[in-house]
Amino acid sequence: MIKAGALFYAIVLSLVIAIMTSSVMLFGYASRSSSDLHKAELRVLENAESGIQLLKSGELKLQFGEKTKVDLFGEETDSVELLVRSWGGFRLASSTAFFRSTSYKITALIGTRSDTGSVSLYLTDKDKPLAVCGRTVINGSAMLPKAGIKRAYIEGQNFVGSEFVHGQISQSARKLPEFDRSLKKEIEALLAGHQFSVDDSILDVSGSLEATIENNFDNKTILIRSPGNFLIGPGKLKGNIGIVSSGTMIVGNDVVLEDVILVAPKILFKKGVHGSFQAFASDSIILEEDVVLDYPSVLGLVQTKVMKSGILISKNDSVSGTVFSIRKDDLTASSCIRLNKESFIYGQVYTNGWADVQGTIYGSLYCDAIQLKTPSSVYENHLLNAVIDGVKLSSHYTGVALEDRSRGTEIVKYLK
Amino acid sequence: MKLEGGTIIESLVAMVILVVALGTATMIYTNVLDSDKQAKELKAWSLVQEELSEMLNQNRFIDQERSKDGLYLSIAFANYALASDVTQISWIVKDENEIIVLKGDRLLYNR
Repeated sequence: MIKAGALFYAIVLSLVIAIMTSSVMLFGYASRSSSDLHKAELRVLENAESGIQLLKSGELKLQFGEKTKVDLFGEETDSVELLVRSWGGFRLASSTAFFRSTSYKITALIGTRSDTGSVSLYLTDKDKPLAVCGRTVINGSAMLPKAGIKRAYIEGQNFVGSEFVHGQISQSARKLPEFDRSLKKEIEALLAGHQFSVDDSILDVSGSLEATIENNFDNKTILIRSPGNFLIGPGKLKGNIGIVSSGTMIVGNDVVLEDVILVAPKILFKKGVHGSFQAFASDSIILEEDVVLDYPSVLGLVQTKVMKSGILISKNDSVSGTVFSIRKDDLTASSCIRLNKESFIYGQVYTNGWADVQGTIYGSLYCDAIQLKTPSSVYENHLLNAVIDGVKLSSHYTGVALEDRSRGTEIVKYLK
Repeated sequence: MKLEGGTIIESLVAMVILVVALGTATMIYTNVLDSDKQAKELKAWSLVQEELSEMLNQNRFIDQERSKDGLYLSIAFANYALASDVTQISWIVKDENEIIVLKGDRLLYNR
């Protein structure tokens, strides 16, 4: 006969076994849950990226600033919420994917791809030839006036190159390819103070701004307004921030600016400024020496009054991105872009006024006229020691949609 | 020979232990099978990513089938219904028994 004490041993043993087996089961359950979560995360990541691809297309005709829900594959299991709005010269696109309790959001700046083999130099036909002298280099195709291109001798320098243009030459039209109307409207709205929403967080300051502010693009835009002349720095301003001044805005070299938008009639960048941002003015943008603006920077000037206006790029400045200067349709005064010696632009340059290029452009220059100002004189349609090289611009370069032609779009930058 | 019977409590406890032991064994067995499925899914995922990145790098947008480690991958490209310049990439990975291990879709702007 089994002794009564055996029951006690059996229960203790079964408890030990139960604990061990339930541990194994718990581990299995945790592992399966983690695997399911991982699968869900991969799925929302894929779907959010698909949403961004859809936003690059632009065929959905989404209303700017309005969230739209899209069932990606028609199975009601893969939904994304899409939002697109303007952010300076680019489109700000965000795609949020949901699956069960998991969600993932991607925010990116979208721009326009540069055409492979696109024009390096477009000079409007005003019945005057282009004259080149010194060590001027034009690499890539050029669209020039019917009068063509010729050698010139100025400032004691003759043209020393082997060919005027290392690429195909075609005849330009009497009018510059039209600047993208919607972009122009958006910049005009920015300059008139209409583009930022009344729902944005508004911070009124005067005199100067010394602050460190980082604002995620998921949040409302922080709009910093100043009624008069305004000095920015020292500090750091990064992300979803717009800075608007009704006077002259001075950017010190002790401030770090990233992804922000600056708007003022006049903007002055002090010597040594380094950052990556978009700046829009109606009167002038002046870069002192040694300013470095990283990709994707935009310097845009839309002239709104009859006055001399322009963008000045000084010695040892480097701008990676887009530089444009245009006037309103009803104005006749001309706007300009001046690149001083030893200045460098990697990207697009467009002006429906005149350009004075004494530095280097790796990319394209579209201009109505060229003007060369030397200590002794001013020459029309002359280039002296200028380098305009469209071949050196990467085929992957993505910039601002400046012209009315719709090219493919591409991600400029992923944002947080 | 005469066997002595246990008490009713002893019999009940023994039955409960047996049921719990059998139940646990079944659950562990199912879990083990599931973990094999998870491993297969991970393998399938990595196969899909490998193939897609290769195809996208080479701009090779044609339907394709491939097998590796007992998994059979087929990738198909189709025009996306909501936008003509977007391609829908669909993939299905099956195992040797023709059971679907993984399926998914992705959109690609193709202009």
